Amino acid sequence: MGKNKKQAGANEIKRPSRFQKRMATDGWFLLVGLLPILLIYAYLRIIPIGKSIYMSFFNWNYVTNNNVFIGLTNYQNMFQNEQFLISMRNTTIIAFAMFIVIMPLSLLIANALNSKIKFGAWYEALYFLPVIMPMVPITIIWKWILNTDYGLLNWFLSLFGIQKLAWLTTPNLALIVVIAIMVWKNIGYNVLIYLVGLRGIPKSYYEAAALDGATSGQCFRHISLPQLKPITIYVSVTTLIKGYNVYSLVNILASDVQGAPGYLVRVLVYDMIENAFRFFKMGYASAEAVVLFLVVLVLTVLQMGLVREKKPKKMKVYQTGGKK
Amino acid sequence: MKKFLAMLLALLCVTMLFAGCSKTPADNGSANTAPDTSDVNIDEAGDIKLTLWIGYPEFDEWLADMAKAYNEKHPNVTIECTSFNLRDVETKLSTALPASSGPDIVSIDPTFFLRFVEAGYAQPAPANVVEFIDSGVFDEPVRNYCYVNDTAYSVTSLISAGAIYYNKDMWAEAGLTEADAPKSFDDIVALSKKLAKFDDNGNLIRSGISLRLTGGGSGIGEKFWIWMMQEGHSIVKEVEDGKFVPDYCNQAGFDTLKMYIDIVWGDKTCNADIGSDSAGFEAEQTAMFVREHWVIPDIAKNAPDLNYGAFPLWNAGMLQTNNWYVLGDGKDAAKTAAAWDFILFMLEPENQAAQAKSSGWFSGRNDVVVEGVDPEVLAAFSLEGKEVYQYPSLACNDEIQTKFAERLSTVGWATPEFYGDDEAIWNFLRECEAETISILKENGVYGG
Repeated sequence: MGKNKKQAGANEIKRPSRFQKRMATDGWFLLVGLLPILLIYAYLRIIPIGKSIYMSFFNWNYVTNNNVFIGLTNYQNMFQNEQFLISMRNTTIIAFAMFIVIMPLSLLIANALNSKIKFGAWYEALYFLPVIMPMVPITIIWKWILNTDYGLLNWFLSLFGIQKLAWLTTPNLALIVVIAIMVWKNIGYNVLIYLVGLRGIPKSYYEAAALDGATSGQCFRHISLPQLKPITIYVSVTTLIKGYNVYSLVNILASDVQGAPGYLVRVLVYDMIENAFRFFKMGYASAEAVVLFLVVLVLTVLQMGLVREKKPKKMKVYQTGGKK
Repeated sequence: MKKFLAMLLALLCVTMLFAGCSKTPADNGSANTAPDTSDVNIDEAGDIKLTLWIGYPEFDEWLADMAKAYNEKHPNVTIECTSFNLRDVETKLSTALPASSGPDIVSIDPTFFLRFVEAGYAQPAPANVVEFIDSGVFDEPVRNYCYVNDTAYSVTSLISAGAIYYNKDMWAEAGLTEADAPKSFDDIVALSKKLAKFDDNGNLIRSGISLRLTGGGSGIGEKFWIWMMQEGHSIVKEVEDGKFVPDYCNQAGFDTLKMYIDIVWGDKTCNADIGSDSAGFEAEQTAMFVREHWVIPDIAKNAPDLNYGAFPLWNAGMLQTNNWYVLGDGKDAAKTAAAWDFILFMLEPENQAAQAKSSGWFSGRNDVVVEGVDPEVLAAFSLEGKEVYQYPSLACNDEIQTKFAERLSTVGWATPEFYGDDEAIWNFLRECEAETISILKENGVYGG
């Protein structure tokens, strides 16, 4: 019986795999061409990620070099640590709030800019300006604008009889301020990407729809939105990643005259940096980095899955006369 | 899924391979015996370039002068000085030293730097420097900071102690005299009430005392500690050699926190939004605050017309130092010799007097006279006759103080319900204590 199987296997003609097929054509040339950049990418990205995973299983102190394998203890400690849970909660609120505000708003602004409005190019530049401005100086400017006593915002609100608000020292307000500045800083980039997408949609689609009597709203819903799907995936993924990586804004905004961080808006990257470089707990900080990596990875996969093109179901064909 | 797991496994294998090849601090050739630099002639050693880092930008002008003067004396030696803010220099050292890219000389808090010294990143002082340290130019508590396990690794670059600054005009306006100087927490609360000012809507426009309520990393914890030590207690105390226990969940800790809460939520004579610390004091937005010497030249520069004085803290004072360290592997004997020689040059009496005048940070030497400062203000910083507290030789002290500070600023005095609720204050202190104990245990230094 076994012998027969072997014989049958030997007689089978081996079909080339997909990889072999690709390699048979231009595959090797492409692989060699891409090798330098792949190696650099592996050295700068993949290996550090792998090493962070490796370090997260150790009590890793890079100063004393006393590194002890402790298994999952860093992860256990992390999920029992109040600071980590607070920073995770704050970071998630910031990332999702930013996502919820930026996504529809940037699409609406891009759509408005795509229509023929006066000074369109100026508006585009105006929205994009915060993106190219460095984070540190603009955060310091915002810090002054939001100052309780001398800030422009409180002065402006006082014109309407609104009492002074402590924007940076009231926990919930500070969180809202961080979200608002993150939106202001990043929306221009998304607007630009959407604008490029909108301008790439062939005009003939809209013309055909107009001939069929479609309204502008219907055109937006049935032509623009589906055509922008790949761009929406890219924009939503990068927006969430930016939200989860928030650090310098919080660090500067909540700092005092000594330049040290305040604790009102503790975020994950800040917690990581503090544990790694201030408390010398590199293993624990690596575990936090791994969790951040996994959160972003899962969210990215989920987003890509949600907006993936659904394959049309195979049509069932029934023969006349029913089953035989 | 199988493909993904296989890729993950391959990634881990590659990483472990690389991890095995990576450089570790043990490879840095650190030494724990002083290099012999006695026969090195700096002037004949060729071009030497030294890099120096410091966490106080106030030193920039003085350091530039020192580097220039030393270069005139030894033309082949150039010194590049860079200042950062305090927290940044700590972070930079933490990343630069394990990567062998740190400076040649650094001025840093010896308690922060303890773990680096223990790990072999600092050069032990050569014989001539040890002789200088032991020559009697430093008082005993200052000199002790230069040593780790009976080996001298550093020399004191500055010392600091605190006092209560007060605005004399506001003091007089409130009908107070110098005899009303505070001598208890109750005095502080009462004085703050007398000195605070409110507008017609009841908004605070001048705090009676500026307490450190926000920001500042471990600074919040340090300021809390300065008040608490007036009642004879500390954040942590050493119970046996190298073993520590928390020392704030007691009557002193309770009284200190209650003082903060009474001021912030009771009389509301201080809050986190009004101008605070030296900037608030110079802008006349606060009548009193506790700070070190460096504020004196800061006031002279930013608010020269401010009419102010200083009261001593009534029972205890904290002595802090920053020390000069020589870093690196010591293989370049000429460079090491030049680094130590430059440190000794900076520590010459006239240069130390210039340091105090220029930066506001006082010399650790006991034979340096500070000129141009009101003697009455200067006397308030004296530690004579006081109980003197110093940072413990505890590597995890910064983590303990920073985390305690975070709890104080986000819950301790940020919870209005704590006002008048003694039990809530005690419960809060117990929660903080549990965290401190867990950090001490994690570091194997808990003595309870």
